[in-house]
Amino acid sequence: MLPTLKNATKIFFVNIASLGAALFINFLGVGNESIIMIFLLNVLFAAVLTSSRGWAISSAVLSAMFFNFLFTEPRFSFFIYSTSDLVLLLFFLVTGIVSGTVTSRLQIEMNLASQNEKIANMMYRIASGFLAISGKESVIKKARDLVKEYAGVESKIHLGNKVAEPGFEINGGSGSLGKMEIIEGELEEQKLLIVQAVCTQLGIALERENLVADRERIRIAMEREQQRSTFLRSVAHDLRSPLTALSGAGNLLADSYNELSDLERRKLASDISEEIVWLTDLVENILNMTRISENKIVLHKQDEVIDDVVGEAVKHTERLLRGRNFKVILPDEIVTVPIDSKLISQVIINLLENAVRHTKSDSSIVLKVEVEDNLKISVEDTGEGIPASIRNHIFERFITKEDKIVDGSRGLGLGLSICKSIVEAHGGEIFAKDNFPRGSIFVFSLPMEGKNVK
Amino acid sequence: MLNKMTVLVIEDDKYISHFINISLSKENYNVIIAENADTGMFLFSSYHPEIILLDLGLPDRDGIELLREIRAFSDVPVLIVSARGQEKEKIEALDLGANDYISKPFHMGELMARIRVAERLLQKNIGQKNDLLFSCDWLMVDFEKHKVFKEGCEIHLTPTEYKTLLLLIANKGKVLTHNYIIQQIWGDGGSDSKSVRVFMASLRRKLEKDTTNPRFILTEVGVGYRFSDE
Repeated sequence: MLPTLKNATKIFFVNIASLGAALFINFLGVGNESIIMIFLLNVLFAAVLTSSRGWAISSAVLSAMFFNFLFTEPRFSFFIYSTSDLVLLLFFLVTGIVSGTVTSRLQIEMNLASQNEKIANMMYRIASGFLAISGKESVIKKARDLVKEYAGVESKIHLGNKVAEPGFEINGGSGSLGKMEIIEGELEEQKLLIVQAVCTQLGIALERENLVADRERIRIAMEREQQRSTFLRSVAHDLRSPLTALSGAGNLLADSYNELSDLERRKLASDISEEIVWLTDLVENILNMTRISENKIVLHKQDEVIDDVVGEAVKHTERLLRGRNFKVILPDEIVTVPIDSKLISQVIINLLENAVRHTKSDSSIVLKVEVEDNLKISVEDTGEGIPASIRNHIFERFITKEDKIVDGSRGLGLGLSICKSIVEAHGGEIFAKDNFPRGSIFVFSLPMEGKNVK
Repeated sequence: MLNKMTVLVIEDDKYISHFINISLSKENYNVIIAENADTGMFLFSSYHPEIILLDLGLPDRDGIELLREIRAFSDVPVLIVSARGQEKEKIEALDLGANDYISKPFHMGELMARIRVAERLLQKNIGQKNDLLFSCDWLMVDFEKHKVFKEGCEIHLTPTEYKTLLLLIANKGKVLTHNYIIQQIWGDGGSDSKSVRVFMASLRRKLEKDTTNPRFILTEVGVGYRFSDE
């Protein structure tokens, strides 16, 4: 009802205005032929403003009546004396009706065109809105934003192909992906269209996300597979060399025991036991690696006194550190920290072993535990430092100082990457920096849940 | 030694049992070897060994089960041999009455030390003798006067610390689980394992010269503590 009232008002004002103008021109003494032009203008205005043929025609009829009543002789009556006036009036009526009809139709078409353009624009924005967005969450958020922006209603999206709630289906190529529920607000036909368009685009976007996720999963699986085979290769390689040494020394002892001097025998035996220490550590690291490589470390956290953990690591590396200038600095207070003691001591062991393996025997090694906001454990050495070429990669897998897996003399580049995984699983971080004036420092931090001072 | 001690080794890995055999025989022990739990049980009842070395991973049965069976009728010292990283099993075995454990891979010296501890336990059971004094390296404890000396100087311990030290000395060489220490010192539900750790660390700082390389109070990570006097 509202548009009719609006149009009626428009017609009313346009007619009043044209009537006023006509009276004014008449007052100036201009002839009827010009006055009729004012009324023609009135009809055109009415057609443009209302875009309706009916209003234009009624406006024309009304104008003809005004003209007849007010301006033709005899005035103030609907009679016409002059033939020319009658002809003028008739022509006016025909012209008014025709031009009104044409103008209003044109107007309707223009309106339709602009509306179509607006809808096309909106559809384009809806469609392109999803293009730049990745991630299921953001895609869903975008859909809700679009529905809110263009249809003005709040919505909720339920994923899954068996959604009980009522709502608009979100379809992908492989069937229903979910439903969009309109929480509040009414939908008119046009908005219904918008919501459906959003649903369609959302379906496509979700489908795309699923495909991307699938591809990512496959890629990760392939990468892991590749990593695993690289890992196995390096493990096999690293096991082979000590095993060769071991079997050689063992054979020699068993076969030619009598030909060997006492000193040689002793040397062989101690070589064997040294080699075995190394092998044992390797096995320990490999075991930890398998715990880690599934991308989920199972931590057995307990509140440990840091002295114990450091002590365990030092005890383990005692043989290796023998003869080195090695120092441990512990905080004065007794500190407990929630950690998996086995894994953290493995980190310290790896760092200490690294320090021993990659520095000359005159380099000093300092293991330091400090309490700041969190627990900071560092291993400093005064060796040659980390070569710039591998500095950015030392915590990645299979990096050794030689940078060659196949010919690398010793050491799967596993140690540091294990350290990183373990420390990060504890919510800490690990990094390396330069020691002053020479050497390097490996530092890792562990979060503490409240200090314990006694 | 006329009366040789008999050690029953229940271990399925023949290399390990071989070298245990050699080293124990050299130290004048009588060694018998069983490759599985059933043979072990049979040899145990026929030879009545003084000490048992028990591997937890046996081909036919769980070592824990065998331990339970043995403990049902015998107090013979049992040493558990198990892989590093199986703390739960170790604690379970210790709580079931195993006397001690040793982790693979181990040094022969370690094993010999454990066996000597078990041996001492046997002797103590035969003839109880009450020491009035404990002295080792720089540490001296006067049981009568309740005083502890470090390098000749008296050090002050709280009553609980002193009680704990006595407990450790009484079980020297043997691993004591956190639970056992809590039970003995604080009684049921008296404390948690975190407080025990802090408590032991502070006791250690009073007694030891180098806390990262302790002489007396050794930590068995994840299991408990061991007092060493060797």
